[in-house]
Amino acid sequence: MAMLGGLLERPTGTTGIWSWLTTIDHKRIGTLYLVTAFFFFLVGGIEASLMRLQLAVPDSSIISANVFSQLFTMHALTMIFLAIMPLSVAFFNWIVPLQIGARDVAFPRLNALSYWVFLGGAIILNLGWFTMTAPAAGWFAYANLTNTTFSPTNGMDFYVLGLLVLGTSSLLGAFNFIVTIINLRAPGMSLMRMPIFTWMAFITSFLLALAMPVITIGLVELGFDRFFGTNFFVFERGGDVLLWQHLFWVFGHPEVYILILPAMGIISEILPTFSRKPLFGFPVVVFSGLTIAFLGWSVWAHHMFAAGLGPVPDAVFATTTMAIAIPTGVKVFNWLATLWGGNIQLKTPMYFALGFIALFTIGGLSGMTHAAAPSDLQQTDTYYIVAHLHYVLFGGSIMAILGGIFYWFPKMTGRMMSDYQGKWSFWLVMIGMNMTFGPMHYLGLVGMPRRNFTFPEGMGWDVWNLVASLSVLFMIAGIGLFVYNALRSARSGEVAGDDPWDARTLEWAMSSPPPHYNFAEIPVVHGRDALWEQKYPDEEHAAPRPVPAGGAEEADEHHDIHMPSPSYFPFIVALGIFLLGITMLLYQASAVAGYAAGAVGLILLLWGSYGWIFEPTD
Amino acid sequence: MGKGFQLIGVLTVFMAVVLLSGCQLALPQSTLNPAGDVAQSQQDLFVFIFWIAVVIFIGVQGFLTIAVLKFRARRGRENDIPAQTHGNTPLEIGWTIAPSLIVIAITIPTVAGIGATYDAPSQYADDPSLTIEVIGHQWWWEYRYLDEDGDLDFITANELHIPVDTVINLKLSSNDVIHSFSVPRLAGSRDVVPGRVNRMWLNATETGVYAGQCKEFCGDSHALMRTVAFARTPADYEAWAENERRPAVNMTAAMEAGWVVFQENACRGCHTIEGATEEEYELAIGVTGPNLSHFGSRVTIAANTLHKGPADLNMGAFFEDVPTDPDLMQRDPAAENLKHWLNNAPDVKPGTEMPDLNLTDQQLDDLVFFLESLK
Repeated sequence: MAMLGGLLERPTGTTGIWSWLTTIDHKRIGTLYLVTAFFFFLVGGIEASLMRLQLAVPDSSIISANVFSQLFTMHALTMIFLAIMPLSVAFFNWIVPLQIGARDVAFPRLNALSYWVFLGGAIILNLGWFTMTAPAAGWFAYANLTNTTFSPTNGMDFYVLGLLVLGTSSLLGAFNFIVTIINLRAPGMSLMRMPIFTWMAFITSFLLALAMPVITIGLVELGFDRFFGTNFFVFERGGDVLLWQHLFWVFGHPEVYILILPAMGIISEILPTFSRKPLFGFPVVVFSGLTIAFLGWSVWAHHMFAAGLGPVPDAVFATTTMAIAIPTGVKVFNWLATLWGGNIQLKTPMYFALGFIALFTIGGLSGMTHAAAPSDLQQTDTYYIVAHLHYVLFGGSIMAILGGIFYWFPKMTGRMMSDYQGKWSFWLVMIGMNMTFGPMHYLGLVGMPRRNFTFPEGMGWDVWNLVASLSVLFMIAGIGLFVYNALRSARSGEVAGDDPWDARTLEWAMSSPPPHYNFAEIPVVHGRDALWEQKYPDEEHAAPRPVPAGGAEEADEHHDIHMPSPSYFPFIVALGIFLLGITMLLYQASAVAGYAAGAVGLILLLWGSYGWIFEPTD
Repeated sequence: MGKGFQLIGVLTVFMAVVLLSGCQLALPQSTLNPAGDVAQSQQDLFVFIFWIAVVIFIGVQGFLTIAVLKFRARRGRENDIPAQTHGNTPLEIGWTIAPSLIVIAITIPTVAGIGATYDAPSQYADDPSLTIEVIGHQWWWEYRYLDEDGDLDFITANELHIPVDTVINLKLSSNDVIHSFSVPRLAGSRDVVPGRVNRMWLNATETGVYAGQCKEFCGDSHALMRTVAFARTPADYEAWAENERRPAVNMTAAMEAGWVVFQENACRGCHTIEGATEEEYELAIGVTGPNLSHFGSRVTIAANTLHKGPADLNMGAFFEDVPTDPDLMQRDPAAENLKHWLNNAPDVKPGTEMPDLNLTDQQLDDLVFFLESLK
């Protein structure tokens, strides 16, 4: 048995392409996620820029109606599934094991599989660009526009199959982090001593594990309707088009919190570090996160206020939606109180964290106006919603992610990013973001609907559309400078040292970048902000201990730390899943190609799984 | 630290624009310029929440700015360690209760107002009422007016005429995919869902011409699925309705050349023209496209993608100029927009089922004359 699994010996290289293809080190996988997701963030940005180019002036015809539909559909899918979610996962990978004092995640090979499956799904989702038949029914893909009558190209097939594959990746990652966080915390790290970012990763993983199956059901039903002629969403034959909306938003609203909770976690680390003060009301912030995640399941139909569900459902969902404002408000107040009385270090990560509070607050407040169902009927599907969601997802998630990259960059690379350039990036993005999305509030209120490839002249929309489009240039400059800063600093930035920010959590207790095995000696945790309490033992009730808890300087003495070897099998299994994912696509072009891809994919999947199980440990 | 100030500045400008715009620009599709009770109540709710939001906004951004200014690290004291405050229970209870109270204050009028977006509340029981079936098509609107017994009175398309101060009950259904009907100055949207009949109501409290459009993405030309509502005095409305109830005008000799073009290009397969007798406009009985029996009395083309005014008049200016009585509108004598549409519809509206007819100039002139005669 072991023979078959052992057909491929465990790879040993630590450099070169094969080392990346076979790595199961959470830090390298984190880097793969970060680089891939940032690439797709730029792709999504290009898609958005093309749309703003088209909408700069009225009655424009630079981009055709169909291509515009593909652009806004793919922009949303890219930013949500290929940028913000995997960027969050990149931080989970890089930071969570370090914060909890673990050597790796619980299932390192599964972690590699998550990444490669993600990459496969991302490729499937984008395949349509090669034939200019990308999905074009909106990321929400309302039935029955998505059936083969109204979406006759294979665009929606890429959507169904790409998201199914991506969902598999998300589930694998979610289970991995749930198990890791429950089981691999350092001794003494009770749940309420767990760093806040890890807490948010924990909550987000549960949301993922529960939300992904719902969209999977919807996608399988849609796939069956399209490929095999079933009637789930065919109203003429007893199907129900609203069924899709319910399935989609039961997934879709928790998804919103999947996008924002990690961001809240990031800034909840940055604010205390740069205020040199603990997170104010830590238990309340944790509990608010849990409450948001829980209530997030009870609000989905606020996306459907216009669908005509009836006064009672509308009233229920308006009320539950309003209720989410309470824990969200509590979080904002706790962040503000964290600042109060601090010794605030105005470094770039802090700029982004402060920007997050300012912008997310605006997004939250505009959210209240469309939680009120009658008011929402005017705002739904207008640019007011576009403004709202970008204040939350760009002003919220992306600002936090940029701040997070800046904050943990020294830990990841051992070098600092330029603070001067970082602040320039911040201001460019901040101005661009407000000048692009701010006017959209107004455009929506004066009646401009979203997802329109053009708009007529003289409706009162001309000026602000031009302002919005031109301001994109600020964001391009800001993001461009950020990328330049990161690339240049990775090679020649100032050497960071272990703990450049005088931070509070355990990831700063080891060398930068950390050794393969993370902690030479697993630390014992005596309180929240474990590192801070070691560094400043005289403060309050911290137990006095010597600071060095483990790091590269002791590496030579720790040759006996056993870390799992790299493996070919995650990549092989992922390749099998990818081929199975494109089977139906190929089958429609040529039956032979479809069968071939299916057969090869199945063989790879089975062989890869078999080899995985019986793979020798070294 | 100018962050807070900069933001407040930007937002103040936006607020000022939002508040002032209603009375300064022509905004035919604005939610902030209601001309009906439903839109008014929706705006009232929005404005109520808006001012609460402004207060919270100023509070949060102000506190943020003050905290950063007051507690930023001073030169030489960057490494000072402030008091390590972990929390303050009374404070945290306080700022849990405060947003709860605000939320309750917003939820009460919200819940109270929801029913009134479906059916007219009881205070409208004595108002006259009119029921219209709205049917969404890719990408145009069919309006089927019902009489008092609920039977079909007449059919028209894309231009909704209603009498003011009348409860208009809309029954919404779809012929193909999901659409969403809205005329923001009269009422917020309700989706038009295939396989269901949704309902909403609206009224117009002042005469006027209001723009609307489909709000739920419904395919490539979603942006061009527009509509226009004429709110008219009851007398004007009744005169218009009386004309709509009549069959199309009798064919004259001058119209015959256009009728030939209409037949030869299979227009009749998709469009209905109701003749006074069965023979007249024979076989123009298609229902795929809009009913054209009174096409000549309309002022917009292709679901308000174009209008019949001068081609260089933009849509906003058109809405400013068009009188509530469409018969009084100055039409473009050269009919440039109409010819553009008739000659190459897919160029105007991507994906439309109306083909590129590629007519000669003479055919176009004849067809325009024929269609415009159908008053």
